[in-house]
Amino acid sequence: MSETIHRPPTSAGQPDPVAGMEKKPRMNRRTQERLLAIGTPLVLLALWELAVATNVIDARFFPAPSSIFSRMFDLASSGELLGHTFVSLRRLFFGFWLGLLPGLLLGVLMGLFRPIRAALSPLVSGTYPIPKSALLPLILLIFGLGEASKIVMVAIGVFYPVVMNTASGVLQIQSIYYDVADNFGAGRAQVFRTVALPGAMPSIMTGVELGAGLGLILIAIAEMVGASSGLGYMIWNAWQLYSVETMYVGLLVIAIIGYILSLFLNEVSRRLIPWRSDR
Amino acid sequence: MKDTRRRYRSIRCLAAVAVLALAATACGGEGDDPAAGETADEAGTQEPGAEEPGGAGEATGDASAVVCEDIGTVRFGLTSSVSDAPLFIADERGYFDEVGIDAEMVDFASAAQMIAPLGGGQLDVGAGAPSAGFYNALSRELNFRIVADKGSMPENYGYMPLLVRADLYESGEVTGPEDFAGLRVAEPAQGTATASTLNTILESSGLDYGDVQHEFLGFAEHVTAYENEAIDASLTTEPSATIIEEQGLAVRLGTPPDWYDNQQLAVILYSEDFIARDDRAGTCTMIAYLRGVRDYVDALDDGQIDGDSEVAQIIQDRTGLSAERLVQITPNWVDPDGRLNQDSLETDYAFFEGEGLLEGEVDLGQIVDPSFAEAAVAELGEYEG
Repeated sequence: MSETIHRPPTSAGQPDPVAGMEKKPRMNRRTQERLLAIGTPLVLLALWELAVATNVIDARFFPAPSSIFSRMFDLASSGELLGHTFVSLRRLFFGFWLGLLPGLLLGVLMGLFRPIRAALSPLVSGTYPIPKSALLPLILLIFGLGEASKIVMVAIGVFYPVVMNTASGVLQIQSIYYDVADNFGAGRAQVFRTVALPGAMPSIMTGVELGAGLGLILIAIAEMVGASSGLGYMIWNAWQLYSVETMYVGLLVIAIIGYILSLFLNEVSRRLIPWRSDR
Repeated sequence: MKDTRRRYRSIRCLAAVAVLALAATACGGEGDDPAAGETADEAGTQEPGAEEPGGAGEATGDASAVVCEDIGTVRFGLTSSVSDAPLFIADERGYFDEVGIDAEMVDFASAAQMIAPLGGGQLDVGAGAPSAGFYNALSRELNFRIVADKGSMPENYGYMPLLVRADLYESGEVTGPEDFAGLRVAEPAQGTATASTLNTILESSGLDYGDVQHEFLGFAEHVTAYENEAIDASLTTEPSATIIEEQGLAVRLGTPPDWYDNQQLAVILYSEDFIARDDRAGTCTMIAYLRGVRDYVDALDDGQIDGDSEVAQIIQDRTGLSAERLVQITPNWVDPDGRLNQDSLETDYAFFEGEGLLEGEVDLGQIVDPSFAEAAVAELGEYEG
């Protein structure tokens, strides 16, 4: 929308310096950011395509984006890509909830009750640094080669960030809020529902976002062993067959899923924590 | 303000350097070895057609013109399994040193992981099974050649037995491969020589490759898979096969030579960069390798490794296998003159093609090069076991 600048009438004979000038509309900041978000990957892809075309990078190991997208189209047309994607998403979905719910519950309990925190904190802190991918042989041994082991891997990945961030979030709530709740005669369940959970929500959502990302990483790793479907299997099998474009398609789809997941969780976060400022 | 501008300028410079460094490492195809760029001319000898990736008909190995000294570093890719024994022996007994080679052994989890470094020149010599992935890499112009035998399975040396779960065998449900229809059969990966072995076994029993359910698992995972009853049968290599049998999890139905005699299961590969950099290197490396092969073959006794031999000790030290386990397992055979079973390579290639696993066409005649082994044998003499 243009804006005409209004000026007091000038003296006779003197030209109005701004007569006829219209203030140019400024692009909305959100629009700018969206353009950057979309434009940056496109520019990078274009540079990659150019680099392959001019032999700056080796197409044997880094095929051109056009050939990757062509393979993606073929795999999508045959239904193979959709099949693998659906399987991974299904495992991610179940694993996410399996890790989230215990993580939330334990995190809140650890935050609220000192004895529980004293008992569980060392265990959580001690087991957290263990590389989850290194646990895979043990998980296969316990849960077998079927779906259970894949879902459990995701659950482990989601559990740790959620429990640690939830506990930390509950702990950082200022005691005055508990005092006020106590003064108003709130029961434990009410304190949990109206003070602890909302107060810790920003930390909890951070934990959920981290957990979801880690779950996605771990499902890809879990599907590289003892699986015959899923994006991780597709990537690993493509490497075995030296089908480089297919491997890149798998990586790209995982990246897209990760991005969509982050958008979704941002939206959930915005609705659950409207009071969290957006910088 | 000035400080801020200076800081931003420094950050921009660092970012530019980082991007350039990343771009430089992405330019694959040349190894770190400064010798990688040398041609046969610079090495002082010229073999006809040696500069081009020639066919098997162009002999690039020639013992008569080769002086084995000051070859330099040669990088070998290994999976540190028992079948790498000839390379371990050659290394431990100084055969590489004697021909002027500084052997550098690099471990890989699987032969598939060697493909890119071999094609890119970061690895000079690889050892593994010709697979669909291997041929697909060749069709993408990752150039390397098959130069010698590294593992084959004649009678008594079937080191990848066909196993079936013990309960299925004892119940009488499965007594042979003819009963395999619908079973979950484990193989290490799609498009491997093992898959071709399974195909041959099934076809000889009246079934097709597609009549069974394929589970792709590393050999070490077969043990867990049997424990969880996640698989019904498998082709499992040693020592995992012996471990599975010892634990009573599965029963051996037979070994591949019963159906597919003398399959070429593993080969020695030379990268084109390695061949091109110094035409002596290939032959001299082969001389040392075949000496290791012959020592290994001498320590074999009718399908078993002589547990009291120095060779057995070398294998134990390099693989971590116990002495007891080493004498229990079925070892692989290696031709003492490095000869390849090209018919087997063609059979397996045709299988991969039939399964639609190949992304391009490869002329086996162009990539199989027995000249280095022939030159080495000319130097060493024929093996007289």
